[in-house]
Amino acid sequence: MDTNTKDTVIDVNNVEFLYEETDTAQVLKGITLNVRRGEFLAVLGHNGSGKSTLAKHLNAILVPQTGNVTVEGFDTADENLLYKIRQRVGMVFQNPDNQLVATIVEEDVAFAPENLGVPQAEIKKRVEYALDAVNMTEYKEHAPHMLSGGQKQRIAIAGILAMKPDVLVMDEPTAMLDPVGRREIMETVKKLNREENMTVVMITHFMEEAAEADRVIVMDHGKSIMEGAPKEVFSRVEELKKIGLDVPQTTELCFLLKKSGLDFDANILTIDECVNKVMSVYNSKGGATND
Amino acid sequence: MLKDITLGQYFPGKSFIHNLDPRTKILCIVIYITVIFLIKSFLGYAALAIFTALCVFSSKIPVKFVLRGLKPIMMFVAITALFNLFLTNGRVAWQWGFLTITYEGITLAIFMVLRLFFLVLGTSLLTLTTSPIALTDGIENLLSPLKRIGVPAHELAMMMTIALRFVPTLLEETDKIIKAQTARGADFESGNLISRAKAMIPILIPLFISAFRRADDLAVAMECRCYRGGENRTRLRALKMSYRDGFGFGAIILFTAIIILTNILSGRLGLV
Amino acid sequence: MIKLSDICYTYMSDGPFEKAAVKNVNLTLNSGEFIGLMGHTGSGKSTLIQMIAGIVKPTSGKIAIDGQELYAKNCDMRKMRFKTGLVMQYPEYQLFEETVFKDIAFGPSNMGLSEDEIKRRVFFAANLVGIGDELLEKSPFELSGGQKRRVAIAGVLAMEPEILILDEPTAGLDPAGRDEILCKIKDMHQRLGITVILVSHSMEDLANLTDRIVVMNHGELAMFDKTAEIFKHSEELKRIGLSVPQITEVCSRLSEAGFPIAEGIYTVEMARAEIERILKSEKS
Repeated sequence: MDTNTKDTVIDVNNVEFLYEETDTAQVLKGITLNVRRGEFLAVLGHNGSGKSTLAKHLNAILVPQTGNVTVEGFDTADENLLYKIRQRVGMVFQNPDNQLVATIVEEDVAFAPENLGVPQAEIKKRVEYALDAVNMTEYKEHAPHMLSGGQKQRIAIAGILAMKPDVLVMDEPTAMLDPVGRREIMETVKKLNREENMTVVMITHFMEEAAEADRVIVMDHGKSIMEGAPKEVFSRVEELKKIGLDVPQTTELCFLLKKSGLDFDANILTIDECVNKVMSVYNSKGGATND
Repeated sequence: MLKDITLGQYFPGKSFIHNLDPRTKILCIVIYITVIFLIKSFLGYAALAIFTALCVFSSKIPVKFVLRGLKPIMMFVAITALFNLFLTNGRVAWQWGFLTITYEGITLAIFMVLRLFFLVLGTSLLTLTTSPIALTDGIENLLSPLKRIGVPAHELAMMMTIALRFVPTLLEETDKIIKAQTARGADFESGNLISRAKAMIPILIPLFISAFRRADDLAVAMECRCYRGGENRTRLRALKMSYRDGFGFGAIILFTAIIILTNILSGRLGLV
Repeated sequence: MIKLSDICYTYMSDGPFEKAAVKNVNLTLNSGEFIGLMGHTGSGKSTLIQMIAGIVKPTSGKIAIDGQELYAKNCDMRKMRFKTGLVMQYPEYQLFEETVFKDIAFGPSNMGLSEDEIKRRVFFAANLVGIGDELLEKSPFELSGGQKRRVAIAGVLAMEPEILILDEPTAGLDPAGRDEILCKIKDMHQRLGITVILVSHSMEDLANLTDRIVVMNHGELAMFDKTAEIFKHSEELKRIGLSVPQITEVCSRLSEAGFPIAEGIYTVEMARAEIERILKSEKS
């Protein structure tokens, strides 16, 4: 494990967790991982792989039964540190309707700083900053229920940014959105990561989204089973399919062509890479161009 | 059908009335309502009409929009008027079989109609010019002195806010569930009262389950945003009285005085 | 056969917020077809299918199913609704009964069928969506998300509709749950020969399943053609905020680069076969 503590924001160490009331598979079975400052980390897994349970451990909504989680060195099991931790690790959930509290957008964004007792002038500044960061300033006086799913979800993100967190954790933030909303969220998140240097943990089952991260962790049965750059992870086409996950069509195409005995590799992710690869094989075989 | 219901129908604007502190507006409306029930003469109602008209005009909300608030109570007003008209004792004005109308009945019926109309006009002017958020802030603030005797002012306001926030969402959801069950052949129209009530089960159960799920989600989301009740909470918008509110209170006091004056006058002159 | 003539639907038709959701749609769908329906949110596709399903009455225009005009005076709407099974978005939210069996039986009971027939249909529908008999006596609320979704679909299938309409049946499911549902739908279409109308945002899913695709844009019918033809118009689709499957994009880029690939490829398998054919023939 990478133990460069200076760059580690969240440290999840051999965590086990089992829900008492149900017998579902949503458990953690000794998971270990870390979140590095400034990175965009995707946690990929099917429903029931334990990824949402993991998310709830990152800001002390759940506390490990064995093992421990630390946020900036604060142990999540220590109740005295609860608000320190939650303020540092903000969480956005799947259903945009169920996380907005107020009837006016800017009031909702102000909710967290109000709870934290931030002085009024500072709340105003934070609301302005947060709405601007998600590009929703013009909607600040709207009612949330009049907005689209993607817009609501951006308000939810703004509500978290107003706490000035170190890490933004998102638990399947696009699962209930249409493609337009999904794109809005991905662009917002990438911009926050790039321009605001926000550390992002995105929990998802959409491989297109994981493909845009810096690092991907694949979860199955409450454990982390793969870790690496998207390219490395997605090249393991058969293993991913076996645990019920997708790979990009480009990766799959190259994987199938390789299986057909052609000179291909499955480490292809983008359309550009795929086109270039096919063309280079074609040209090397003396294709249409005769030069 | 369900989408037509509007709750807390705020009409955004920047008029004098809009800009009043919500506390001023709430207190004024309380005085206004009390005064309505004090009026004893048509002269008083004339004064009330003029005052209300002035308020409506200064709010810059289209009159049509304000009057729309009267529509849903029409039936109720009509019934109340009829009761007063036929069931008041006094000098007989008209009689047919067991139906009797008295002069007192006529007066009382007209007064009742006027009272109800102005009551609704006044309160809808409050909700039209005050955003739900300002309204709850105002109520929380006005109730906060009662915290010491155990009135949960913050919690009440929070509940109101959340209710207002989720009413449109749940209405939309109800609409969807009705459609889904209709597609499965559910019949909400035929049968007697009991079978109709039974037909509501496939709508109510999913709706309750969904409402509880939403409440659960919301509670976690609020925890994640460091919610811990009303203590040490700051606000984005602090309520602040200004010179305008002085005018507002001045106006309502003047209005009350005029009404009392009309009561005395009409008493002296023997008018109704 | 479903025939829509000049269908319009307007929201709040008398108020200041009047908004046309569906404008002058003319469409004829054949029995037994697998139809895809796409369009961005607010394009009118949900309203359109609800009108076909007999839930929402068009403001103007006529809908006829097998010659019977919907919403006409002589039309028994409840009966027609049993003919068109509608699976709404997130259908698991409509579950309400104590047991899975009772919930699936809700539709058939409303049809006034005999106990035996209801029982037969419940088992049949549950089997179609892959819900085992051992789950039938459980509470629907104890099941996993994917299972709940399939129970809700079975509740519609148990009415044995001739036309099955599904509004984004895979929304919110993970890839495995999605593949499972789509596989069952495909299977049902083939085994029962019913007409299927599938609303989806996933170009990949539509490409893999449908015979013809209806494209809606701002309440109007933008395109209606065979699946392969639709995905040839990638520029037009992008202009109205939609896309083509990633693999189609790859093929058109290859074609631009001078690779002699055939037109109209929209699945990975098609692309693999075509590229392999070209590269291997170059080899020899």
